[in-house]
Amino acid sequence: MRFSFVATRKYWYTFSGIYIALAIIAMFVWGFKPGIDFTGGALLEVKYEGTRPNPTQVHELLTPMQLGQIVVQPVDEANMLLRLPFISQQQHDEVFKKLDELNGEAGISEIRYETIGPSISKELRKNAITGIIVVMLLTILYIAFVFRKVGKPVSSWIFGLTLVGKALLHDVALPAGIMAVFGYYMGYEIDTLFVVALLTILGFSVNDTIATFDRIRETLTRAPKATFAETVDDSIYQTLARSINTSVTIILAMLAVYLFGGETIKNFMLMLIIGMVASAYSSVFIAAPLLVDFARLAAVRKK
Amino acid sequence: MLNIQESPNTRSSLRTKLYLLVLLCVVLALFDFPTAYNRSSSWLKDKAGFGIGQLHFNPFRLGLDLVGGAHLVYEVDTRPVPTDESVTDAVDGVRNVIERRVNAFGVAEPVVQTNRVGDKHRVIVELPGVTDVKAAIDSIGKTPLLEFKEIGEAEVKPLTDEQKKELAQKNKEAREKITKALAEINKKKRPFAEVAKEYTEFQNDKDKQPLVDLGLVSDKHPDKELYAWATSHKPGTVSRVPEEFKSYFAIFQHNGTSQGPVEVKARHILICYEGVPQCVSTLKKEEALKKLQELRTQVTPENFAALASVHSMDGSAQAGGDLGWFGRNQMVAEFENAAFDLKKGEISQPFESQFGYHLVYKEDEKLGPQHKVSGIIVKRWTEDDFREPVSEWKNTQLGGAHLVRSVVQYDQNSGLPQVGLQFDDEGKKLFAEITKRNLQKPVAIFLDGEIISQPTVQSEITNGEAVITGSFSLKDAKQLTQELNAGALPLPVELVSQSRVGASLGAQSLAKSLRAGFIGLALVCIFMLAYYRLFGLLASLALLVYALVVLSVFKFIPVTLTVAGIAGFILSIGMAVDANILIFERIKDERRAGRRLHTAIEEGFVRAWPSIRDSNNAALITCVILYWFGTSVVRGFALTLGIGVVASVLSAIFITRLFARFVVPYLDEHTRVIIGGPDTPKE
Repeated sequence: MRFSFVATRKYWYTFSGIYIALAIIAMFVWGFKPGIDFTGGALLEVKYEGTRPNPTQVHELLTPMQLGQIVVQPVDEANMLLRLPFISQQQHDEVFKKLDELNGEAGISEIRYETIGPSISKELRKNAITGIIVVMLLTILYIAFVFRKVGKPVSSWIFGLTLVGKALLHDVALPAGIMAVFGYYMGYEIDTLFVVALLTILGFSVNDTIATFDRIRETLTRAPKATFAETVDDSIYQTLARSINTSVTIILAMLAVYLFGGETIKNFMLMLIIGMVASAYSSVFIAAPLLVDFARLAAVRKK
Repeated sequence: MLNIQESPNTRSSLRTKLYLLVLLCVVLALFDFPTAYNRSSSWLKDKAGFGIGQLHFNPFRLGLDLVGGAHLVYEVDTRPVPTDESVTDAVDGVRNVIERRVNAFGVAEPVVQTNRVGDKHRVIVELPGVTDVKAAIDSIGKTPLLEFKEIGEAEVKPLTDEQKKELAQKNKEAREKITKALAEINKKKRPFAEVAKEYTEFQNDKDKQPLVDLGLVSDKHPDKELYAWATSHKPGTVSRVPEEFKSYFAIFQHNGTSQGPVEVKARHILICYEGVPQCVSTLKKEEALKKLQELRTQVTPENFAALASVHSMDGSAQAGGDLGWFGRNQMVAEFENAAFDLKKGEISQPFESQFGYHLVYKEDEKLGPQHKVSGIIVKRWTEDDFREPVSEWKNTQLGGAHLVRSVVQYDQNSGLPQVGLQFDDEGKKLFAEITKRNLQKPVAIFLDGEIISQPTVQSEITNGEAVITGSFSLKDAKQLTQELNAGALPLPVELVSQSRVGASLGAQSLAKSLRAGFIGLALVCIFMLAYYRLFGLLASLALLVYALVVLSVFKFIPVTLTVAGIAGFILSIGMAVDANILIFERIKDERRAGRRLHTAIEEGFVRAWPSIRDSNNAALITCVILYWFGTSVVRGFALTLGIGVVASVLSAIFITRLFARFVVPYLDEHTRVIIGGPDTPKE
């Protein structure tokens, strides 16, 4: 007897249910730390050529300027990262001069500097939320359209909703939850790239699932099996190799960037990797079996 | 169906297609990596004496996070613009001016674009590879705002009832305060100085401490009411009732009368230093003091004027440093003290003020009675306190946009440097109207919100020429004309966002991204080889072609590559194989169903198409939304990913299929080696 995905689905639902619940709890309890993209403000990273002062010294140095709340964080061996409220160009120059003087002769160099004014950060927030909603809606519509010829045992809308539902509640929720944990323990802040990662995972989880759904559709129209459950199981098997391999190649590519690529996108890549792995798993173990359950529900209702 | 498909794929047509593909690859490789070619060509020239030419193609366009540089967003204040149509024109004008400024700074490939979000107009400036970002920002930001204004009718609005009530209330409280102070002195017998410190609202400018001593009051004192009180009261007396003057309530104490200098005639020499506002000197502070100390040894009452005209950095230098007659309360404290304390005919030692270091020569003085007064001052509220400050100057349409040219000129009489302005046709007209309207009245020239000149209009000016006079040094005049010529901004701008990446971080990111790219490509190829064997090899070759094609597209458009963009490209490599995998799995399916190899291959390509189309469409939808959503960082990612997805589909369908068809005749039915799948059911 070969292993049946559909028959064993209760185990998978429970297993996934647990970690998803944890992820969602993490998100609600700890929330996300918004970075300057969404709060506005300034980010200054400097490198000390000589000895690096400690954060308390920097705080004392800058308090008389009355700029507002400053967070000072040593980074790597010689760098210092400062987070400040939105400051003007002149204020930046003053801050830089003071930081430089603190080091005497050795001096400092500016690695990067970013400011985001309040009007821009407001727009980013708005765009982020709009983007997520739009992607979800369009994907549902697109899938419903593609699967429109399939009337039974589940309507095309169910295909679309299942797909987007699993994408949102599983593939996206897991990396987001993990980032909430990072935020709480390591101070990781969300920025525009975080939202981009969410949108990308959302979009690409469709990729994974659609091959299986496609096969289900094809089998239903050409050579349906005795029960819907059997059709689904067969389709999963037939597309298993493809699902796994596709995910493997994408994950390989992303691992290369995560391990060997630049610092600035490490967390972005990590989210994508987690999302893709989650997506590969959920396409096979969650999404397709869910269709069977929805079919049962639809059948019960008709009676 | 199969037969129809077979005929176009005769051997020779396949061969031709393959040769064309190889040719294409060579061309694209040269286009993508001309430096490698050039290096080999030079090496060849060294070794063998002849070269194969050099290629000159533009390099890849790299984003700021790979090259270092600055990304600035300026928001344009469009409120002054009267109508909607002219808003876009005005914003374009701002963009042009900023671009001129940026170009003058000598940045390679700067980007200056307008951008509109809702009703906010912005100008986005990208300065790649700039090392001194601060100087660039300063020079952009410094672009002066030139405005011409005429006297507006001061709109004296009557106060609202509520404001009148508040005014009365505040003055009532003020009176109560001063009365209380007087009571403390009279009834409770507390000493004047003590009560004064507690109640007075008058402060020392420097340290904001309460100032009770009002100094020496003579008939030259600007506050006439105070002088009147001083002369009408005997020394030692205190106001019996609170005085009610025009702008304040007060209680004074007369502390004695003496004869002293009430007016002084003096000359001075000023040496200012770097950092003092409006100072043209490049001396450091210590150098300035030294110079003045040196001068002090040389100076005498006879040669003071001469030395002043040569060395003094003040506007009075022309007149030998002569300041004429002045009374107290007209100069800054340090200067006043020095001048008044000197004996007649004496020259002071060097002393410091906010303007720099001075030497003062007291030529003459007038003596007179001066009264020492101290007082408790409480603010008296007037209607003006409740009104918005009346801007006496009204904006005209004439401004920096109409300026054609500005030059440095010399005044015919004094020989002092001036700045001449010339307006364009429209400006000429406007200027003629303005001068006609304001004959014998002053007109103000504002630079960056401050008045720099306020000439009185003598006659109607129709030739569109104007002159800004003032205490310009030649250096100041030159700088102003340069700034005006580089473009006076039609509208004010504000820096609302900036992002700067140091060149070192940029270079690091680039190197790392490239390394990750190679490794990613290698990993994917290894996997494909391992799992799909021969066809995996074909797919890998197709992948290399795909990479060349996509890179050429990036260079050709050109797409600006950022860290996220390169990541998107690497991601698309992972996805490019996806289409191939779909096809290969279908082929295996067909084999399992019993078809012969070359049939299975053809069927595989055909059957896989719907899946490929659907999944890549979904990916494209995401890319489109990301592109719309984003900042340049996000757009880079969306663009490279999107181009990659489209190219990968084409690559799988055309290139892999071409390879597969070409190779089919050489294969037998042993699928395990070929594609890693099951052999035919027969076996």
